[in-house]
This record gives sequence, C-alpha cells and structure tokens, in this order.
Amino acid sequence: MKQMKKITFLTLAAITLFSCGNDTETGDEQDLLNDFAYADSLQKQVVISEEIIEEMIHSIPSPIEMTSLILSSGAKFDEHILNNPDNVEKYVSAHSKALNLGIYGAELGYLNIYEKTMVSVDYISAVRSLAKDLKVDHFFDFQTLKRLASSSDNIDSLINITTQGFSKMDAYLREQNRTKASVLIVTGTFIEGLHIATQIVSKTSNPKITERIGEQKMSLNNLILMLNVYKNDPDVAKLISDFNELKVLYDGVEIITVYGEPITKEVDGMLVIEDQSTSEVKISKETLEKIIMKTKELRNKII
Amino acid sequence: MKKYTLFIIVIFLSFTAKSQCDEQVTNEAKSKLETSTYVKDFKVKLKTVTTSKDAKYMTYPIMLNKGTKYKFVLADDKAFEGRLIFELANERGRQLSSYIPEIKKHFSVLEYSCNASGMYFVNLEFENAKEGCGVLMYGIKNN
Repeated sequence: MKQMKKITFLTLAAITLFSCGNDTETGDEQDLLNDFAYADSLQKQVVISEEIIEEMIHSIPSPIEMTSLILSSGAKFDEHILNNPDNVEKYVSAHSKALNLGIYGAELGYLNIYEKTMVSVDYISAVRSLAKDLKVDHFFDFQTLKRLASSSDNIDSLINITTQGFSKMDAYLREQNRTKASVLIVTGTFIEGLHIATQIVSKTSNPKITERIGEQKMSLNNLILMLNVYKNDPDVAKLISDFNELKVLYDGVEIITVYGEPITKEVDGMLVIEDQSTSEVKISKETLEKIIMKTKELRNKII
Repeated sequence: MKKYTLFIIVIFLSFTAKSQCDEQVTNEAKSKLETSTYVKDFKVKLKTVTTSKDAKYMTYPIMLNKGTKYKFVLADDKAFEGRLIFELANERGRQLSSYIPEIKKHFSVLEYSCNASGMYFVNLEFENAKEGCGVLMYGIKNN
C-alpha cells in the first residue's frame, strides 16, 4: 500500500505539472469579481490539478508552529518587523489582497502567541477588511475576536478561533473553486512566517530558529509547485520568479534524516508514540544571511 | 500510467474532503484536543467504495517539526457505520496508526513526539471501507 501511495503522489505531482499548460488565467487587477470568475473558469480546465493543490496545501505549515517555536526560544517580541495594519488601504487587486491576508494572518498568530492582544485588535481589523473584500469574512466572528482580544485571559481561545477561521476560509475557497486565492493566502502566511523567523535570527542567532528556517526548504518546494499551476498569471509569474531565487539559496541547505522505529505505548487510554528518527539541518552562515536578505526583499515586494 | 490515473480519479470521487461533516463531530474533536493549540483538521466522508481496494484511502502531506509534541484526535459521525482510521507515515513507512488490529482497538487520541522534521503523510480510511464521516484534528501539545 505504501508503494501505491508513493506512486499515486508522484503521479499527482506529474499531472499537476502537465496541467500547468492548460492554465489560461490572465487575472484582472482592477476587478475582483472578474478575477474570481476567471478562477472559476480555470477550475473547469484544471480540475485534477486543483484537487492536487487541495492535498498539497496542507504541506505548508501553519504559522502557529513557527511562532510557537519563536516564543519558546525566549526571543523577545518585536512589533517593528510586522507589516503596518494601515497598509491595508494600499492593497487594491485580488492578488495583493489575498497575499496580504496571509501576511496579516501570520502576524496575528505571532501577536497572539506573545499575548499582544491590544495590538492584535488593529490586525484583526486589517484581516476583516481584506477578508470582506475577498468575500470570506463570514468565517471570522470579529466581534467575538475583538472581545477575546480585550483580555490576555482568553488567549488560547483567541489563537484557536483565529487559526480555525483561516482553516475554514481555506477549505471554503477551495470548495468554491477559488483555489488560486487559497494558494496566495498560504503564500502570504509562509513568507511572513519565514520573515519573522529570519528577522529574529538576524538579531539573536538562535540555533533552533535557524534550523527551522532551514527546514522550510521542504515547504518552499511544494509552494512553488502550487504557484506554478497559475504561472500564466503575470503577477503569479513574478512571484514564482522571486520564490525560485529563494529556492536557489535553499539548495545550499542540507537536511539529513536518520530513521528509526517508533516506540508506541498506551497511557490512560491514549496512544503515545515516541519518534526514534532524528533530523539535522546543515546551513552555512553565508547561506543563512543570503536567505535572510532574500526573504526580506521578497516580502517587501508583497506588502 | 492510465491505471494509476484512474485510481486517483476514483479516490477523489470516493472521498469528498469538502463534505459537510456534522459540526458536532468537529466540536467533539475540538474537545478532545483540550489545551493543545489547534493546527489543522481534515474532514473526510466516504460515500461508496467502488472498484479498487486502494480507492478507500485519502492521503495528505503535512510538515511536522522536531522537538514538538503533537496531539492527534479523531471523531466520527455516529450516523454512519464507518469508523475513521488514521495512519501517519514518513518516507520509510508507518509511524503510528489509530487502529491496532492485533488487539482490535481504536484510539481516538494519540500523542506523537516528533524528533525528525520533515514531510509526513496523513492517511485516512474508514474501517472495512464502510460509509462514514469523520474528522482528524491535530494540535501542538503545550508543555
């Protein structure tokens, strides 16, 4: 069965690449509705590719995982590395709205993990504005979010409701054949998670965060594969070009995994599994510095 | 190649990840997550099993990070007979399964201490390919 799954996954990837040639999307920066309609027509042409994206999109880690690690590393909160919520007015096209919805979403995770609830209210408003424009604001109960943000006692609920809101929105967009918007939002969360991590490492040289930055190599490859489905959209083509430059730098990152058999035991009715495999990331100081610079450059083009 | 492509199409037709699994099932999964920080969930529904034995599987790649304890929880819609089975695999094979056939026991709460960052595969199926609707949810276990 395992072999079959591998073959299936590889076949899916192959079909994705094959289907790229069918993408005739042009995109319309001025008319959001036209853009969505176009995404619908695209879906009809590349149904299988969109299905593959549905699977692959889960391989892009949630920003909560990166920000949790940053918090546990002891790094101090730095508001200056975040995108100003007032910038929300700058984003006119569906393309930039979706990307920056992902960026603000990742920042909201960072703010919430650090219990910066007072600041997070402004970011909730930015998310609301972009989500409304993209017609996906019904997944966020903004009154509840603002109420929860009024006290740090509600932080767990705030984190969970926000993350679940993004998860539901993502599923809805794919259900509605608006997978391109979903991919762009995930692209935004990915680059902002990486931006926050690289900015903190540039100041602290924390080895755990450095390793996590190196590990993003795996997700980056999948992200580029997903973006490639929409490569005929000039805006996405520019993104792909930028991400490919980042990928070239990541080629200098080596990830070594030594596999071991997991140990399983039952504890109070729960199955507890201890992974016996190990992984190690090899990344030179020079490569890390280049990745930090390129990430900053790429992210600044988006915000 | 055509054979595998056909299987893939059957998988997608058989499994409707976009299904409207009962909200109650999602809430049940959330409650099992307890204090863990929610990361993702997968809602799956199996309507029928068709021609291929392999068509009953659904696979999602996910990224897991070393040094992190993950809590995986499952919940089933009781209106259906099918019981959701979750398997986590890496490049080398299975890491865990929510069903232990030797003792014929299902586990709806699993804790996985990850020591190797990388791409893992979430495999979902319903026991004996029976019709079912269920949710797999996972989160980061807070220390």
